Amino acid sequence: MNKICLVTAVMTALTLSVADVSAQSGGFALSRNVEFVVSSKAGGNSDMFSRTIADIITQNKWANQPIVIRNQEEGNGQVSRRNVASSKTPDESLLCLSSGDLTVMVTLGGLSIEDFRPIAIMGADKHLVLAGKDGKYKTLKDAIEAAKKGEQVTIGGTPGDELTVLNMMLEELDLVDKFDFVSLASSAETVTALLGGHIDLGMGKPAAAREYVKSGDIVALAALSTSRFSPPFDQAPTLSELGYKNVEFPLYRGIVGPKAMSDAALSYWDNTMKQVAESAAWKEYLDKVLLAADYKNAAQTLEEYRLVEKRALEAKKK
Amino acid sequence: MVESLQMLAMGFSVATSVENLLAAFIGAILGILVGAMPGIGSLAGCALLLPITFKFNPVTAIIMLGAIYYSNMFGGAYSAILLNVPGDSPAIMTALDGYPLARKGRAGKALLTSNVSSFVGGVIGMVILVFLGPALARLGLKFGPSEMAALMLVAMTSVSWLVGENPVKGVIATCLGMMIATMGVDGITGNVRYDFGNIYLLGGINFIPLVIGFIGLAQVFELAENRFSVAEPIQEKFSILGGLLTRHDIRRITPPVLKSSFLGTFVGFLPGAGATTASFLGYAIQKKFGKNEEELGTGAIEGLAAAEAANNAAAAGAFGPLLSLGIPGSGTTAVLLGGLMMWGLNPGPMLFASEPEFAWGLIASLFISNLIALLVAMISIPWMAKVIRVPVGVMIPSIITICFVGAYATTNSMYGVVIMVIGGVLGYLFQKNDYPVAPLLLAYVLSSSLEINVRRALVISKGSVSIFFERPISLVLMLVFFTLILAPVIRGILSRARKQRP
Repeated sequence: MNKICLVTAVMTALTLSVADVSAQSGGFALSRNVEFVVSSKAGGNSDMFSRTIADIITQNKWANQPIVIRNQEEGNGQVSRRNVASSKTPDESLLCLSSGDLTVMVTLGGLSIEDFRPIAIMGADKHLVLAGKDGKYKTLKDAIEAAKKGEQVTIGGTPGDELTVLNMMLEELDLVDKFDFVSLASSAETVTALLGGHIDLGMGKPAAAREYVKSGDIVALAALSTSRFSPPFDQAPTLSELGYKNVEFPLYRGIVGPKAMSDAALSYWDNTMKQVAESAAWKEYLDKVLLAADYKNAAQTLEEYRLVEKRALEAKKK
Repeated sequence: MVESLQMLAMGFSVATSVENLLAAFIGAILGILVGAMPGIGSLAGCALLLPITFKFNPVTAIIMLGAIYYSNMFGGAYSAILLNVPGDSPAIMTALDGYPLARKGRAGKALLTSNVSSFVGGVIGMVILVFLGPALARLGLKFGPSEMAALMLVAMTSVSWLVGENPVKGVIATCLGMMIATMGVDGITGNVRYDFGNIYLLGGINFIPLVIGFIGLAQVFELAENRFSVAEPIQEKFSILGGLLTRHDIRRITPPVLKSSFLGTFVGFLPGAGATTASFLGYAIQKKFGKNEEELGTGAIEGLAAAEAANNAAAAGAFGPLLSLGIPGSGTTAVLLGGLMMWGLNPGPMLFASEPEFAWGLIASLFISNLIALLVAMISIPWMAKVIRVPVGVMIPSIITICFVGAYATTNSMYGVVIMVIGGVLGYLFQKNDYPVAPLLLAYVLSSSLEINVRRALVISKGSVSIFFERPISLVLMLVFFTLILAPVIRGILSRARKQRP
């Protein structure tokens, strides 16, 4: 009987995804401490993201057990992902998994999104094409023309999501393999290399570039999104304004649980994350770190992440 | 100039508020403790404490973390000198001369030399930071992939002074270090190298547990083996006065401290170089160009001073790019950068202008925590130095415990412990067979940065090596590099030629 109730609750949440979910689904209760695993170090983006979520849940008493953040970096994060996938306490295990992490996970092999139950996407980062203020190219058009003429154009970025979206853009611009990609470890390195004039262009995300765009040291040349970004990036046109089709590959920041997580637990977490996403504290956090509010529920997250995995596998085959 | 001083005075008024002084004091003590415990180091120390500080006022929070980062460089030397277990990677160079000094019964002097050099290095670094911070940070930006690669090459030449008596064995150790550094996911293409199908190896071999094993644990094996032949523990009388530096000592360490301080500050300003590279370079330059009364590596205070002054100066220098450009110069400053954002500040080129209280308060507090760290360190020397009198039978289990705890702390899992134990066994075999350990560790630290930067530079130049010779800074560095490696060869040829002449 209870089960049927739960299934109905899940279905309702998935299809309608409206309703104020103050009533917790089906009386599900956590039976031990929740372990929220982050596969990178304390103080990083994923860590702050996870701690903020845990704080909001705790402050609003949406969980009857404490949530403990655990940073586990070994094996390039793969160890933490494997441990969560095979957790012995599936209802109380969460993993912070961005679409970038997912790409890395699939590329390294041995794990797939089917080993997890996606719970929510809580925000998204979109990309910008950046240039130094004294750089060779003042607009993206200049760079495109230069590359078509056979001039060398170097572009920096991280080998994960930034390289993926760069390749998507180059395909649209009909410039496949015409830019020289300089692989950098982080957005901070991209900014550094642009400031020093070591690369012509850089792929970047708003948070890392904001202060430099404000101060005028770095210029945003294009927004890889369906609409322009908010200030100070509002000067950067989208690709459609430049006469191409828009390209975007948002870096989703999401949460997943182990495959063995029960339906009741999944629906509980699905609802809880929705409440977090709708809270004022979460919106404040998103504004602070310049993430787009792009909440997706469990079913939508599964769909998005399957797409990301497919793309990663295709790239791996090449 | 005057403006900088005014701002600094304003910073001091911020930093000397009661709560900020307290934060600096707590930070300095925590930093020394964290540094003295092998494996935790400033990176882990700051990362662990960062979440706690989110609830603080940002100025107080950064003052505390800055003090931890800073005084950690003092503490890192303790376990290196007393136990031959470097607490963090810059302390490897400290152990080279510090531990032999302690074994000679001059632990107090070694500790004091290291602390005084740290202090002076730090002060020089901070003064440069105050007056030239933004300008040097801009200059640091000129160091792109080709310049960094050339700098790493220069640093690599110091391997040749560490290889010891048998060059072949030294080269083997160096190559092994480079090979270990390539394990895990390649930072450029994301390909996996030498993982042997093991999920843990995807992340490569962590450096700190490797160091703790190679130096610390290996030494335990040796102690255990020679426990009957070791002479009675050295009876050195310890007091603050007994360990004091004589005028002669001060004259000996002044040149290396000054050289290393300037060098270290500059290396600290470079994005991605940091205190470890600085201490390697400082030591290498002292070995090659300095006047040393005793040979470096056998317990010379010059070597100790060169390494310690360099790493503290670099720690101060690393704040330059962080504050004036929002760019982290080292792993620890990267964590601090994350903190700045969490506290609601916007690190970037405008920070000095938009948050002067914060930026100058932090700089002023560095001076204060440097002084506090020196005082705390000096007061604790008489007690610390007693460690050396502990009998071998007690020493062995204690060092083993420290090694295990430290290795566990670096990865927060048994993986670190496994690396440490394997490193320990290998390190022991190295010592038994007269293979030098330092080149392996040095090669490990430098070669991943060297590889990544060479590959980036070659992408930029479309595969042409001319990039290393066309740009002025890398050209100079390459000339230094070639001079360093060719000088002994040419000198050898010349002296042979001279001998052959009748």
